[in-house]
Amino acid sequence: MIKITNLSKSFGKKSVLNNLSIEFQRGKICGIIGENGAGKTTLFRCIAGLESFDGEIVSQLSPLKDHLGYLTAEPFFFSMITGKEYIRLLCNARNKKLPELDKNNIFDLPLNLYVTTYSTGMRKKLALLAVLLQGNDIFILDEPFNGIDLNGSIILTEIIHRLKELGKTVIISSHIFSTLSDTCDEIHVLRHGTITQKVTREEFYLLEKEMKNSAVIGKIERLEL
Amino acid sequence: MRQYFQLQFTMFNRRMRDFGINPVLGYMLLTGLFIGFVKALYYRVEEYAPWTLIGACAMAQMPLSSKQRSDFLLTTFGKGRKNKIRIVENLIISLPFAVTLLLNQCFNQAAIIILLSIVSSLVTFRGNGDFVIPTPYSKHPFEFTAGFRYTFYLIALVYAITVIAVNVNNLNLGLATIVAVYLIAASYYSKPENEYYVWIFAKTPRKFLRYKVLQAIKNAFFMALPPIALLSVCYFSEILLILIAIAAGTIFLITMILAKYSSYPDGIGMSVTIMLILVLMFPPSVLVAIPYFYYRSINKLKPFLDD
Repeated sequence: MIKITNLSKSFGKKSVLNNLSIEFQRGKICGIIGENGAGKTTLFRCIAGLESFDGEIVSQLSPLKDHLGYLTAEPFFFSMITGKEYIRLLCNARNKKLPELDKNNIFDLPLNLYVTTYSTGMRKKLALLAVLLQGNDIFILDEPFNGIDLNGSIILTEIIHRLKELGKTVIISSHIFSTLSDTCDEIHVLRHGTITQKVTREEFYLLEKEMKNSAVIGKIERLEL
Repeated sequence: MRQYFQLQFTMFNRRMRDFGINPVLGYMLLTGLFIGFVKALYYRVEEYAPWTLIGACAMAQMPLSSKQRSDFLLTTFGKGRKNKIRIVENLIISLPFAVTLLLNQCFNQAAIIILLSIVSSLVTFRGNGDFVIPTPYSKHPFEFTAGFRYTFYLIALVYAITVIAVNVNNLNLGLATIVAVYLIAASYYSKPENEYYVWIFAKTPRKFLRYKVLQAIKNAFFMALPPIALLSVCYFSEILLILIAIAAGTIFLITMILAKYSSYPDGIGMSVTIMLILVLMFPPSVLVAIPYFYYRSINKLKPFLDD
């Protein structure tokens, strides 16, 4: 479980997170939605300990970061490094033995080629695979479905369900609502740096309808197409 | 096209400011360094200086021909303007080299440099993604894995020079090759890695630094082993000098690693660069530099690793 209380984060004068409080339960999948710049990535970076902040983030797992698998929205890769070497790096860093990659390579990635030759979706799959193979207890997946093909998305959805069954905590952000409604137990709406709404599975359709209305109404007309 | 070059100029100035140096001073420094390089070249190996200048110019131009960059210019400006931009870029870089050659009355080489600059501006280095350069360091990424693949030709050259040093019975040259291998290894630590690659480690800052330093010492020694072995066999009576060369290289490598993390997550700035130069010029200063960099590194790594 992760309990966040009164989390605030500013960059200079710009306040990004504002007294945000939220709890992520073990064995639950939580979605975080919000417009671009709402503070989703900053929230994730604070949980991961990559940003300093005001407030409190408490977890039973200590240190939290060593139990956390963080898939960033745009994973960074070194050039001249193969997929296999990347996975080895991430596993080594957590003192985890390199798994049998022939068996574990569920996305059929060309692990012996340089990562720089991979497509966007393949890179995302590689980063995800490495984070999964680290054997973490908590997962933060920032836009995990971005760039991933249909087969990959189906596999990813199944993986997320399996993680839940295993009692792991999964936090996901996505701009594709259907991917969240397919996977999450609850969705939190992040607006102006704070959680303004918590919606459970039964009310997802209402949230989707509300979001469509607020996003579209009157805006397309302004384009004067 | 004019706007493009104005933007490149602005970007270059910004890079110098980020490095902690005023652009005007930066241009003066770069000019001074170039003149120093040319003087040293003509003083040491006058016969080969023009060809070395051609090689240095080609190396300086090479990064501009990358596939990613060429694709960007092509899609943004179209084929004709892209080619013009690339020709002008290469000619700007070749200018100091060509002027130097002309001043030294090497007219043929100056013509070659101009011609090569134009031809190479129309070439794009695509690289072959299917061919992965084998490396003995793939188990301990990433510095040596990637670094070896970038510099394997330099390492091969250094090994060849060691063989030449033995053939011409020049121990000093041989010792220089050991140090050169360590300097190549130190260059793998010249840029800060993305913070994610520090964050992932389940280690305290102290343990992280120890891990990085030990890996580097082990890998660099392995890389320097061919010249060390050859010189040890051929000059066993001078083993102390060989050991001193290994120690000097190792100490500089450690200093470089600590210097990198002492500025982390920013790149190595002007003040740290000056300290590193000082360590190279006046080795005893390492006694101050290493503890200073170490304690700064611990503090700089604390936000990313649990203490």
